Amino acid sequence: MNELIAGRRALLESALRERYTYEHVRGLAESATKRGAKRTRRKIAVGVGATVALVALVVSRSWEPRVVSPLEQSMARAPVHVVATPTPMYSVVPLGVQAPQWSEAPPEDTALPRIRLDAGDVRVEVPERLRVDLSPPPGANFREATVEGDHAVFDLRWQHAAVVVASERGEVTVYVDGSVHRLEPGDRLVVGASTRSQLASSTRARETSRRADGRRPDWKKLARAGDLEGARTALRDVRVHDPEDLMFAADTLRRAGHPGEAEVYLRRVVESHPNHVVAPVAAFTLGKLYLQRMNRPADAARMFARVRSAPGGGGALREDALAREVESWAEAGRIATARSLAQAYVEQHPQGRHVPAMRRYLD
Amino acid sequence: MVGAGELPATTQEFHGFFRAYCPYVARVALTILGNPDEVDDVVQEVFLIAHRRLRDLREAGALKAWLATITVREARRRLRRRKYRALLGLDRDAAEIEHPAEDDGSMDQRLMLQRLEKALDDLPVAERIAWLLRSEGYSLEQVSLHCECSLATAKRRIAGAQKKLRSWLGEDEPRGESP
Repeated sequence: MNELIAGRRALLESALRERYTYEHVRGLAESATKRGAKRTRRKIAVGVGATVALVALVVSRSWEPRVVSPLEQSMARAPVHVVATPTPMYSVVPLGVQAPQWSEAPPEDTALPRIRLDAGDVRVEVPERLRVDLSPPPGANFREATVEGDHAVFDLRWQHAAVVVASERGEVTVYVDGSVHRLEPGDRLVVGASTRSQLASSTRARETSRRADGRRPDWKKLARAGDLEGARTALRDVRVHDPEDLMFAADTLRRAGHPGEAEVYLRRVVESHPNHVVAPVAAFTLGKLYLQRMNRPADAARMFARVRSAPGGGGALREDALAREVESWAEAGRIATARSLAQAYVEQHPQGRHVPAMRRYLD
Repeated sequence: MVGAGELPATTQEFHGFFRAYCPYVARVALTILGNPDEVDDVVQEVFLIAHRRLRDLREAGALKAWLATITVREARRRLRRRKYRALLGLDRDAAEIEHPAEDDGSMDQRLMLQRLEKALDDLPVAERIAWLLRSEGYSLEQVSLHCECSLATAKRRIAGAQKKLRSWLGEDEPRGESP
């Protein structure tokens, strides 16, 4: 009998191991939360529904019926954190937002876009990528316009029949009826004005920005002098292109305690200069940032994998990147992947300094 | 992440609590039900109940036992429903429910495990639960706690189940062996 029970136990446990992976448990948790929320809502609705209806009936006599805007509808579906200040403009803002769509709930460590509405202005903070479709306001002379942000912060302001896009940080691209405008930090673009005035506005903003550059303190000098916050402030007004400068900017921001801002610069090195000599260093640094400072182990693992796949195999960083990748996957709950990579590490680097740590994943 | 001995206070912490205790709840449920397909639902129900009643729990140290008791209660409800449905012909016979044993192991082992599942399904629900918990190494006190019965009742249920199973599975009378 005991043998039979032991056999049953072993088989059930094998079923359990296959079934209860990290991903599955996370999905269950999401689902349970949603079911719980649904039940709670239902109870609240039943319990206080009559009272609310009565109050609503009385109050609605003195209030305008609230129009549900496309923005609000999109937001209701998209997993986006919204801080909205209801104003009369809010209900008539001709804006639709296409937020990232996930087939399932996004991982916990996913950085979500923040969209704030205030008196008709929209402020968008995009940790990764977001597309905002602008519907033409009445009288506008454009048919369709889209603003794309990549690790960016930008404002949208409605002015009569036009929409002003003001870029504060990161990469902002505006598509207006087939034409493309890339905005640098500090640029403004009036969408809906004539093409000439659009360009004039954008150029004027850039020229103003350039003129101002002459008066602005040099961020690199400030960073080298140890004024990290000063360098950070100065960095907001300049566009850094050189990969080594991007690395320097990232280091400055990391040292100043702003890993989220450093990430933007590191990603630009990794994505825009993948063959540059500093690209593996940037990927490795980004991986460490994700793993140690931003609690994004899955992204960290992908970055460490990128180091290994860089031209030259990541050079001196290869061994460390592999060990870090194992650690990151384990942290992300992908135990099987971590284990197979740990095995690869032990085989490729039998005398490696991470061998004892790797063996722990193999036991 | 909520560690052992801590009660979750926020939704985020509840997610951590869920992840920490989900495998444990799933293991208890699967032990009793023997059917992986039902386990997800039980796990969700258990945590929904836990979410609602967590504030009633005063002693964080009792969290695991509390979850086990809720799981046993939920599994008992399902076993009873399974029996009623089988009785009314609304469901497949409980013994025909797919079992992981069918995918693995030798033919002899599979046949024996199938017989065991059939025998377990024929047991009264209360006896089945008590016997399975005991066979999984729970102490008599824990069995009585999770089954919400007295120690004497727990012992009687275990002994009753043991006797029936031995008889049905064609085993000899016990020689000091107990689950």
